Amino acid sequence: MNKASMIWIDWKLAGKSLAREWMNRFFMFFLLGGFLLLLLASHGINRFLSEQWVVNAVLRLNVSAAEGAGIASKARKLPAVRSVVYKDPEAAWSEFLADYPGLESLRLEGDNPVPGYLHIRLLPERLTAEDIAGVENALKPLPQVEKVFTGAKTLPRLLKVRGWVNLSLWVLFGILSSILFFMCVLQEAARARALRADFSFLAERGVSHAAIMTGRAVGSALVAGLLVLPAIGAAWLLSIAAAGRFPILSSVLGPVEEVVRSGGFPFVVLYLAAVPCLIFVASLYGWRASKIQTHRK
Amino acid sequence: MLEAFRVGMIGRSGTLFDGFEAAFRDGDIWLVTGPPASGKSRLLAVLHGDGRPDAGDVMFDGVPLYRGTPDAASRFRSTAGLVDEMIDAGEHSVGELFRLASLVAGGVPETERKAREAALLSMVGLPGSSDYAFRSLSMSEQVRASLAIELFRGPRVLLLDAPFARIGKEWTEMLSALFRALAREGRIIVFTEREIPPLFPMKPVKESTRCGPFLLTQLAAGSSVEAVG
Repeated sequence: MNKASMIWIDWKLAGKSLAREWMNRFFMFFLLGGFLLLLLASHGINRFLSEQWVVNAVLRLNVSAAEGAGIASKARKLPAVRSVVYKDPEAAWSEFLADYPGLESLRLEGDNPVPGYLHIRLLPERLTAEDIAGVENALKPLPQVEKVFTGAKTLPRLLKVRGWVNLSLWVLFGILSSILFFMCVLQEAARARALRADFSFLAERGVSHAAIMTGRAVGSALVAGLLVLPAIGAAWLLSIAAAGRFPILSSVLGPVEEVVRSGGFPFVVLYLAAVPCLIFVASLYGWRASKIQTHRK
Repeated sequence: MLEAFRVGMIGRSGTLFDGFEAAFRDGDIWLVTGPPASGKSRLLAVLHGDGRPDAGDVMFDGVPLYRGTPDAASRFRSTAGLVDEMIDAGEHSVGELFRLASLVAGGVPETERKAREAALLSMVGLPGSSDYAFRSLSMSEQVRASLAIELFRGPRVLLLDAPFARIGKEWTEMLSALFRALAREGRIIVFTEREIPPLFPMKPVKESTRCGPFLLTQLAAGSSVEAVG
């Protein structure tokens, strides 16, 4: 018997139960792939924090709306900056009145007493002490800028907590991957045990155990390779559909397209390559765990 | 040619046999007789490349099965068939075992497999038994079904453990004729029995030779009349 025909031996011997097994695995690949995409798109909790964390640059009272808009467009060009919202003095005055109604009299005696300001949000992956300091250093020397509020005092503790949370999320991903791996090992071992008589039949007629073992492992890896791509594709499409329906997801988890922009694509490729490799190893372990004897006692 | 060189096996209670030597040529039929628990089944397993001997080696067409390349025994088994005394086919039906045999043969198309399966089962007197569970068959039927399954792959060497003792008198003539036909095609047939069955239709070519606890008898591949002559 040639080795190529050993690749699909499990399908030939137990096609129906194997199909059910692979449906479960497809679902697991989908869940795990979806989790990875969300991790990459959200950068852990970086996106959530970058949405909440705002650097405010208060402009001087005499800065005109045109000057303020010019500073805002310069701030947008800073590498760590994701978005800049400029509120000119009139808009700032309106906000002030909305927050403190009844203080219109403050303006009767002269010009607008409320200065314009910039709301600056950073890119999720650039929310670091260095990048925040970089934004501050870029704006502070400008004569039109009165003060820059970065929240620098509380930032280090927050970043520390963020680091631990992000690490925990990746550890969780690792645990889920390990669970999938051991589930596959158990499935492979159970199937090898169930087909033990058939494998013995083949071995007694000249098909070596090594050929059966490697053939099964290669077959499993090939099927895993064929399924993991549509599984992660389905997770990708579902993320896009969910973000379209629930916009809040986009702000917390981020658009999935972000994975490509922020350099997460190699991780996806690594996942696509790692899953078939892990399934290959799971099949070999499963064979060993089934304790099929290679020689007659 | 299948040759055994100074083959020895140790059992639980000591040496089973030692220094077993034999040369089975293409087209030969050999009967190995020996008392109970003398190691006949172990000897067949050794000759089948499926049980490493404690001493000596077995060679097929000049290639050692045990002390040569690691896959030599596997390659030999792909050209040999063994009908064991204890046949463990699990829950498989006869047809499923033919399907497994076709997988060993490299995947035979379904229609061809079924046609050959039907022809072989008819030849051993078991037409239409494909769907029966192997374990539900009688002992005689199991031996004949096993033989048909092994013949599916067209083995060059056929090894059988006590086939005549289990097959029943009414099938003795059929089995003898089948052995002779297979031998005339150049296949080597080696089978074991405790003793030569009474009214055995196959005649020895020459005097039996003793080899350890076993008595080796070469049987005539031609008709019994020719052999006697």
